[in-house]
Amino acid sequence: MTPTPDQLARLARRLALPEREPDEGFVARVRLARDADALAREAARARREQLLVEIGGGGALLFAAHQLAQVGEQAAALLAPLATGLGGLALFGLAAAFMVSTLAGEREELA
Amino acid sequence: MADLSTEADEALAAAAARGDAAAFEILVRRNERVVRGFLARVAGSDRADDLAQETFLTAWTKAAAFAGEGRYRGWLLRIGWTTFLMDMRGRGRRIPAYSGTGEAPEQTDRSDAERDLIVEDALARLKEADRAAVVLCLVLGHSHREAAEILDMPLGTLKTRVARGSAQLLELLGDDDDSDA
Repeated sequence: MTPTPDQLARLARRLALPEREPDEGFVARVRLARDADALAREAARARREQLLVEIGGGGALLFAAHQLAQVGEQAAALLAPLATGLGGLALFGLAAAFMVSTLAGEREELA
Repeated sequence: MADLSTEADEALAAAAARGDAAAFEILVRRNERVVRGFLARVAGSDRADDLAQETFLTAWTKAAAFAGEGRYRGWLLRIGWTTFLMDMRGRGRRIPAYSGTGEAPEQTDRSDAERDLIVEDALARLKEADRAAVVLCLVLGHSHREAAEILDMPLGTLKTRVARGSAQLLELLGDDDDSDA
């Protein structure tokens, strides 16, 4: 069945939206939703920034650890031939002398 | 400061795209009746306000996407239709389409609220796209071409949907004109 133009016109009148003034309550609701959305976006942006800072901090720590390891390796490379040359007993004596001097220094400070 | 309330929708939309919240609020005030009415007819009155709020929120966040081609109201309705479809998919529900065997509601003296319920019930028996096509063309007065753009479907499909939806509604509601009752 194909509706006639008259039938369609009558149907349109039955389906018509009621005329009314703007609903200020709804306008306010959209405004609040917009504000809440802006706050949520701002919070998400702050979280992203914090995450970036933390990732940057972590990266810096890793770099520092890498540098320290390199320095340690260099120090070890310097000391290793020395240790080989001096022998175990001499190294023990060196360590003992270092400990004694440290303890003596602390005693002086206490006194 | 210029009086924004006399500006055309498209000028206000351009201002909203630049972040002018006051301009956008005027657009909301001007268009809320139509957007909520469209969504009430398409999604049911219980979901209409939430969907309309979502529609306006999307229109605000994507204000820069309105290219100024066509009417702003059409653009809003397109967002409303997309919002409705996404909501429906998210809920995994589909209002059962009219099978052609339902009984037409009785046509007796009724209050406005009862008449609205009858109309809503009859609309709910149509397929979603048929319902939207009928509402856009018969209720909101959009041309077939505009409605096809809003619903993002070919013109021929839109015309078929309007004709089928109208015929089903006439079958369900009867052909009595009780709008003045």
